Amino acid sequence: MAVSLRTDGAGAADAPALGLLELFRVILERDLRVGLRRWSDASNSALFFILVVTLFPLALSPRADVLRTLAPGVLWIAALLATLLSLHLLFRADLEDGTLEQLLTLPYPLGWMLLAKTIAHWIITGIPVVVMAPILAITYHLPLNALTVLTFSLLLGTPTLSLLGSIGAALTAGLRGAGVLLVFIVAPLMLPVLILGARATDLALSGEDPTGPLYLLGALLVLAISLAPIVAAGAIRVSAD
Amino acid sequence: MDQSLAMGGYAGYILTAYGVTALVVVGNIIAARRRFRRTQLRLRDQLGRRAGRPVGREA
Amino acid sequence: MWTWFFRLASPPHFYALAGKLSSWLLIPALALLAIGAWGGLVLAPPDYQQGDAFRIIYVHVPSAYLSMMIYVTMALAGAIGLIWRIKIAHAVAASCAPIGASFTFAALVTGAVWGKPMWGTYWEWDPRLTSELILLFLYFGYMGLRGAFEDLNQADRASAILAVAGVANVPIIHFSVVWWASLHQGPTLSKLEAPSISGDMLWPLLTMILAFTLFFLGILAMRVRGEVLAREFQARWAQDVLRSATPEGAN
Repeated sequence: MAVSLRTDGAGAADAPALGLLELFRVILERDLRVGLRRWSDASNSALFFILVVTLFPLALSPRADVLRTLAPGVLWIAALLATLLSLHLLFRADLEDGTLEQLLTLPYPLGWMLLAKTIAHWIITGIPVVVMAPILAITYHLPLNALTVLTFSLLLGTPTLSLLGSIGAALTAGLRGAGVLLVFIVAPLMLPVLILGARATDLALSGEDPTGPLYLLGALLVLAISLAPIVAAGAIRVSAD
Repeated sequence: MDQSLAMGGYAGYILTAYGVTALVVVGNIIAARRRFRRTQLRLRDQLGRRAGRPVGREA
Repeated sequence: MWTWFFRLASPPHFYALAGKLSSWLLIPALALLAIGAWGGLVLAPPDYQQGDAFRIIYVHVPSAYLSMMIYVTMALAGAIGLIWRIKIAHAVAASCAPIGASFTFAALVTGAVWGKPMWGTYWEWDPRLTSELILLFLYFGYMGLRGAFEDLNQADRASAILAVAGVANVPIIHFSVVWWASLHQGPTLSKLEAPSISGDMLWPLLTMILAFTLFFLGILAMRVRGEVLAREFQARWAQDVLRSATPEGAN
């Protein structure tokens, strides 16, 4: 039994008919469908990631030893920027067609639904980055072990970035010209992920043990999954007023 | 007193640091007072306009 | 005893109280500032390692302490406003932001100026100053978010959420910055500490910290007073106050 998310309010009239897992799946699928429909939006973050990564050797130096040292930081910064740039998409479509207000009236926990939306957003914008990263890391002459750690750290870190970003996106949803403000309020929150991810890769690069920062990244991810949707839900309620 | 004024050659740095702090302190006082004054005037204007006449600003 | 507290939360009582409160706080604050500065600049002996340059501690440390304390106050006030819907709490949070940002700026400048004679450059990306810089961004983000909303209620609640999220993150951010710095600089003492602080070096510092705190509270009282007046404009008491105010705003 599918929840209808049409704007005629039909969904709101039903008593809770979906289990939480099913609800998650429904919203995830719907958001994936809607998100992938606007292909230009979806590919934006991957293309931006490639662009930033390309800029550094051009601006600095194409020498292997220089690039290798820069690689952890550059690749992580590029991933962060790509996430920041795509955050405004998270709630925009739903705000425009009134689905967001509808979601608020549904008898399901809002935080859970927002978690599903954010994961869908990460699948569309974050996974391409994780996939592209090892390929681009090769162009930076990163050895295999560092490359693996980089990819793994991005796999752990980019969902956290999306979750933290969802708080900012929720706070600024519906504000005109909110792009820069969103970046500004969310970036400080993302710093620990950036620092841990880049450092883990760096440690692997110099032959040391990267598991400490990786564990911390995992811990941050767990923290983000449990807390960020709740905060974002509160923020969405404020924005939807 | 002479020698202590020289501050071991660090006088410039110390002066700058204390000077900036003093500016921030004074700036806070001025900014807070100006803001209160402006708020008060703005609200009284609004009040006056509602009643259809200015509210004793020239008094 | 609780009636006193609840009276404070009532806007007209708060307005009347805050006016007197701010002078009562500011005058001792300025006096203590003068005493502390005198103690720090003249009376305290020069440090064994840093010479006279360490005297900057007497303005840097209180500024840094204020910058962080004000942020926590701002977040706390916002949380109180969100949870218990006490309007004055939101007024307090809004008033804190510019004060906090200005002292974060002061902490950064005094820290950088202290850095030059100590380690040769104005900026070393050490964990303390880097954390202060991030704090400045947090303040600007807060003020930016507030200003972006047209509806005051929305602005209050959104910025309160942001402040609480920020305050929860500050320990995490600070920890990761400290860890990041330690990897690059090795386990050296943060250069911005007075290594061993004797009694006659300590009292001016404590005086200054007290002075800065009183100063903050005095300025806060001034600003909240104006906020409350503007927010309660529709109320009878506010309009009475506005009508009876002299042009110099001595009320």
